[in-house]
Amino acid sequence: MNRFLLLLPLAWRNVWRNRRRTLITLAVVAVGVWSILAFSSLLEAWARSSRDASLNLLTGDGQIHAQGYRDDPAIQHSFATPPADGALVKVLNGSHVSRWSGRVRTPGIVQSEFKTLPITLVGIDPERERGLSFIATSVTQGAYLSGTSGNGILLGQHLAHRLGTGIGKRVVLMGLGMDDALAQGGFRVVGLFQAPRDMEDSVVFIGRAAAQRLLKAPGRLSEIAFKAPTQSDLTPAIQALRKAAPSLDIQPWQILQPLTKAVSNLSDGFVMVWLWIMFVLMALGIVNTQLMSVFERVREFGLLQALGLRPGDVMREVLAESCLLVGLGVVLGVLAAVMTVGALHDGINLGFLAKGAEWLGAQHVLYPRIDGTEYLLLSVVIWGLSMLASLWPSWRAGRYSPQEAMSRT
Amino acid sequence: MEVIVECRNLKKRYFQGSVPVDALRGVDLQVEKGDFVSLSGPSGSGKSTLLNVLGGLDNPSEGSVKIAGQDLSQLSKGDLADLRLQRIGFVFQAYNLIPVLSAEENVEFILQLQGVGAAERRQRARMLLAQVGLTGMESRRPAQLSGGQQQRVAVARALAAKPSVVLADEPTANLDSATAESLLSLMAELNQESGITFIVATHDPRVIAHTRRRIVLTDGQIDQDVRVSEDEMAPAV
Repeated sequence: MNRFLLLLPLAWRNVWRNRRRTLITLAVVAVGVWSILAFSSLLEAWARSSRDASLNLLTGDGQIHAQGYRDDPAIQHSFATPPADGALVKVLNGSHVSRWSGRVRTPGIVQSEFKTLPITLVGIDPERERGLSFIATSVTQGAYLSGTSGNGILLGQHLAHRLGTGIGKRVVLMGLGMDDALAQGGFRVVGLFQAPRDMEDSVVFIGRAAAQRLLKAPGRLSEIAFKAPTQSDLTPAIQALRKAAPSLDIQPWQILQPLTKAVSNLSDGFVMVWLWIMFVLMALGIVNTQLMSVFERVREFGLLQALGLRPGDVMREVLAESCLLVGLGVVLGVLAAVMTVGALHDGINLGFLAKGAEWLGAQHVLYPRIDGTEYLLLSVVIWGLSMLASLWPSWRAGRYSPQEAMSRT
Repeated sequence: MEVIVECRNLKKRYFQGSVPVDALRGVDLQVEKGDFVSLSGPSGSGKSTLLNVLGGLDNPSEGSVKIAGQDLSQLSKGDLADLRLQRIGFVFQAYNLIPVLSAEENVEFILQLQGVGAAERRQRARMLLAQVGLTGMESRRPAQLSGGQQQRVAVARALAAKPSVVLADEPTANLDSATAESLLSLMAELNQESGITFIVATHDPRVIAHTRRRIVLTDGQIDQDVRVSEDEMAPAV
């Protein structure tokens, strides 16, 4: 290590012996690092946007169900509203959970005077849904639900169009009640909401008490959806909830929405593929530069050994050159990526390709972020891999015998 | 007198393709501390090979070499490098200096490898450069120095480590007469004043004229080994 530090000043000067070659290699490394980090931030923003878009619909960060509900979402697979002073509500009101709300959610049928269509009936507490799901902010015509027990209903815009109904008109909801008998009731359309097309077509919202009344399931809940303050709070939240209600099925979004998780994994996969492509290109540049540098200086390596440098020291000297060259390139690349992502901090508006963004499952504005830990990790990985690539030229420099090296012309 | 360099029955065989070439054919040699020895002879006589083997830069095919009592055949590559660092100074015909270091840094480099402290390094490097007549040129890089000045820096560097012996291979080959004469006088002066042992491989009569012991190699063997008196040596300029 001592010798390595001693050789650093010499290595630094050797790096700048051929300025043009060094600048080209620096540019290759810096552009490579910049592209990996910036690409990683963009993909992460897309994955996060896609995840938020998906989870903000109804999933939340996690949900609580009765056992068997996920296989058969009938009202029979519901559970009693947990007592306000019980262990479960204590955890839900604790620090690992930021918002939560109980819902009734079961398959049903909506009927207008023109058409009957299958839907999912969701009974909500309108106030508690604010900040938890999309519905409170997505009503585009009419009004939001005013309470849990009224007979108002929110329909998706497209569903209303298909049913040939609208604000102020009545529709009939039908579903299987708690008593296994067909339950039905009339509801007045108070608002229309805008959401992804499949959501508009498949979900209707009524007050939670109204749903319990319709389905003859007083005090019963199909699910409790909740959000954690941050993703890192989710695991402790799930653990605490499972401990508080061991008989219930409590799952994070990764289990409830495997497709969303797959998108997140896909993003990480893309970053890794890009990292390897860029790394191979960078490694070729670095190895080429270092090999040329080594071949040009064979006599000098002989001289260094004649002066008393050990073969391992010669190898370390060349490795130190790579270390400095790649290190500088990585720093430049990181700075460029920080500036690029910083400039995009206010968001990238994908409005001009809104349909495409929707198809990709993302929101209209992406917010790339600088993840310090990820930047550091990726930089260290790139730097480490480049050092591995430099081992070959370094080894070549150290393997010449002094006599053989000095007799080279 | 203390024997600094000793070799016995030294043989070196190279292969040019599949053809064996005997560069050294049984050289026996003892060099005492303070000697100023020239190795001369025609091209291919084995001068440089002998110098390389004595300096541990090349391995002999047979025989043994001892530097300050240490048998080189017993040393690993790393130990040989350490021996060169501590005991042997080299002056080559060309490509002598590290091009990215200044004259002073080239001299200091050896001391740095030896672990000498910064202040002492600087002081010794400056003193040695002054000794070889390069005061004021300490910060110049090799490319900014003439061939003669570069060789002087090389001599200063060779002496910096306080070696047991300095091995010089055709040190004047690329120099004009005046510069060569000046360098030789410097080496002779250092030999006389500091008692540093020099072994110089050369076929330059001017160099040979400055040496006290003159060895002539022919076909890889010692043909002549003559000691001359001070009167027969060329005077220092």
